Amino acid sequence: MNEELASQLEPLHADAFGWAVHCCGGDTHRAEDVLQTAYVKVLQGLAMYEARSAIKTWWFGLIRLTALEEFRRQRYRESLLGRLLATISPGEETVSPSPCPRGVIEADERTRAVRAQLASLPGRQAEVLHLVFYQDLSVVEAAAVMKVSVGSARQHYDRAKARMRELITTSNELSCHE
Amino acid sequence: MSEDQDLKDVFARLRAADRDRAPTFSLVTQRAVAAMRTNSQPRLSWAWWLAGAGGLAALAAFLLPIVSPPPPSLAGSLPVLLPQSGEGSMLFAGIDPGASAAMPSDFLIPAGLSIDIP
Repeated sequence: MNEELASQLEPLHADAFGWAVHCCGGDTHRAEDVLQTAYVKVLQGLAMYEARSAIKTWWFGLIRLTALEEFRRQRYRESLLGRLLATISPGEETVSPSPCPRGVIEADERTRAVRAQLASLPGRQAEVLHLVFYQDLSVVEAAAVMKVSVGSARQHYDRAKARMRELITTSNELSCHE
Repeated sequence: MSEDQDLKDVFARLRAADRDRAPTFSLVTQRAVAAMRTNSQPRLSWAWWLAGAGGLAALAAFLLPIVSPPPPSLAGSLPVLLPQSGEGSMLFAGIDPGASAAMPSDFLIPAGLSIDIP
């Protein structure tokens, strides 16, 4: 990785990790793997920043794509053919399909509740909420990361906000009754 | 206060929690460099395993007829129970095709009766 790109990626690292955690459904262990794989792609020159968008948009799009690839690879490993080929070729690194307990256990109860509420939203809605409110991106930038049109992203954004507020209100009412 | 402040607060808590657990930039990049070096080493993939197994099977199919001769025929392997004594000898010695068909009791047969034996 060249020094200039590294100096641009370093300030984004913590937020990139948060985005990777979101893309991995809250599993921090897998998020670390995804982030590491994304860095490997940059180091190997498989992914290059060509300044056609903001660096954060490009980097987050790459992390999202890498998380999707990892998810597909994991599903393949879990399949019968994948297990068979893994026994023929033991050099291939295998990852346990069960999530790491470290990634599952959340210290903060409220954080866990928010993650569960986000997980209950449709995927696009959860993504746009995370990108706008967590990552401070605009809806236009979120659309670029999600590879959808701005109109579609805005629609997901409005629905997601309304749905998330409903979930938070319900959760607050339940906790008040308890 | 903006209209979405409630949601911003919720996500700010989530962000703070994730920041506490995030591995450092240097750690992840060092791991990435190590992983890249490992990946760059040649490794026998499953495709090479399949190609090797196919090659061995083809070699075995070619060499097997050369190394092991074909089994002997059944007629050759059976023992000879009734050997031929010579040229033109018969299988059943009691029947002589050149002998006369007349038998000692033929006089008992009426004279006018003639039976042709082929």
